[in-house]
Amino acid sequence: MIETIRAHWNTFWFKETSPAPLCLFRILFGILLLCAGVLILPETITWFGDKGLLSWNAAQAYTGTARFSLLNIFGASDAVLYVLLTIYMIASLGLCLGFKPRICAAVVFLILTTLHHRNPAVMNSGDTLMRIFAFMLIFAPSGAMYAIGSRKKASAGSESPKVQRWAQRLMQFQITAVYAQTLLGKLDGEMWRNGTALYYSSRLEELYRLPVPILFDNIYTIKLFTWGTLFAEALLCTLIWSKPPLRYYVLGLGVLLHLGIEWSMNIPLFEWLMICSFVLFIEPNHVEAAVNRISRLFGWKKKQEEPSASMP
Amino acid sequence: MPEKWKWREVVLPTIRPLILFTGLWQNFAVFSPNPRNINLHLDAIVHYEDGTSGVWHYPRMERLPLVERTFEERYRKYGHDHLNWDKERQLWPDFARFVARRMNKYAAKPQEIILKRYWALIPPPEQGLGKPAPEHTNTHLFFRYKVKPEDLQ
Repeated sequence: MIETIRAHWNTFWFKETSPAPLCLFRILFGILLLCAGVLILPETITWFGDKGLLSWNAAQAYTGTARFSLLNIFGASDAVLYVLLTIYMIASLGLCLGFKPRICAAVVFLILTTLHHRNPAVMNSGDTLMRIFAFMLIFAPSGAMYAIGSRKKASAGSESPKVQRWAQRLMQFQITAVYAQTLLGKLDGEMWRNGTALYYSSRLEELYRLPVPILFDNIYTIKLFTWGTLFAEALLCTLIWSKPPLRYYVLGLGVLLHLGIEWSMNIPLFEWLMICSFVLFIEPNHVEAAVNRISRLFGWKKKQEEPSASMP
Repeated sequence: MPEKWKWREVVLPTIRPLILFTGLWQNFAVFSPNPRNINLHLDAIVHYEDGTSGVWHYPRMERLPLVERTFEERYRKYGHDHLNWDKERQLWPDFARFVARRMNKYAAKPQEIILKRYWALIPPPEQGLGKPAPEHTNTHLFFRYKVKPEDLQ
């Protein structure tokens, strides 16, 4: 019995598999980090500068406890902020390209943590998740494929590289935790239980993005979508661990949920981050097949370069 | 408290400072337990030393063009989730100084900043479906700040 459990445990965490999902996620995550940097840049001093919304001294009192910050080491001047942001952008690009991805992830994590601790009151859930994913990527072999240098290594061998998947598993658990926490929190809410939560959230003016005619003006569709949200989040923290094709239907539902929020609410990047993170739940061979197809489509890969199982 | 929950009293205070320090804290309680049932915004009224006054309008997302709304979203986070609430009053003096610097464009210097909150409750569905959101007709002056010369540096 114990041996069986141990075998399952080892298979779950340490079985060697293709890192294709992890490496594709690294690229998508890097793009989102770059977007986040572009969104911060025009108002860097407003959000994080001493002459911005929250002075350095007030920020120290606001956070309350000791927090790690590179600004404690290099000073909290505007110049240091811009230097850190420049390094952040370079490191994000490095993640996209797969150039020293562990180091790039560490740099991104340290700078994001610094900014988040400088003014946590301007940070949203998307920022939080980016910081956590950056931390996890430090420990993940995300440069094994689709990265600078990985092509040469791959052509030397005939098959995709194999890596232990414990880091990817941690990231999958993180995604599950996001849905579990938000679901459990909502189950305590009267508005979620009586089906009117979406009526109120869709009328918060500061979150308006694009109009949703009819659906949010009818109590039956409002109830359907309110309870549908709970249902989708319940599936996304449970059946997301099932085997395909059921898992893919759950992921598809998740994509629809996040695209719906993206359309109707102005919460930049969070929905895209969740959608991109679903890549971590796709089977490696399916990711590889999709990437190969896209590579051929754009002419990045010639047909004869593809590893083929039917070749002698 | 049941016996099984006692570990929280021991473990959490021990690991919490470490998690906060290292930046591994997280919270994803979006719209929970309930979404807010109130729309609000704030303005800052600026009194100048020559007796004139002006208003600095806090960016309202719903009135910004789509692209600008994306770039300025952190104003929403700051204003709606923190600055506008009495429990986070420690943010007010710094915000008043920020406004004073922003409005320090004329020969006369800003002398006093007054923060004013506007709000309207979202009516229940039986009264609000199919109707536009109510105007923010409730108001409250919630903070006064005397500007010092060094605030404008």
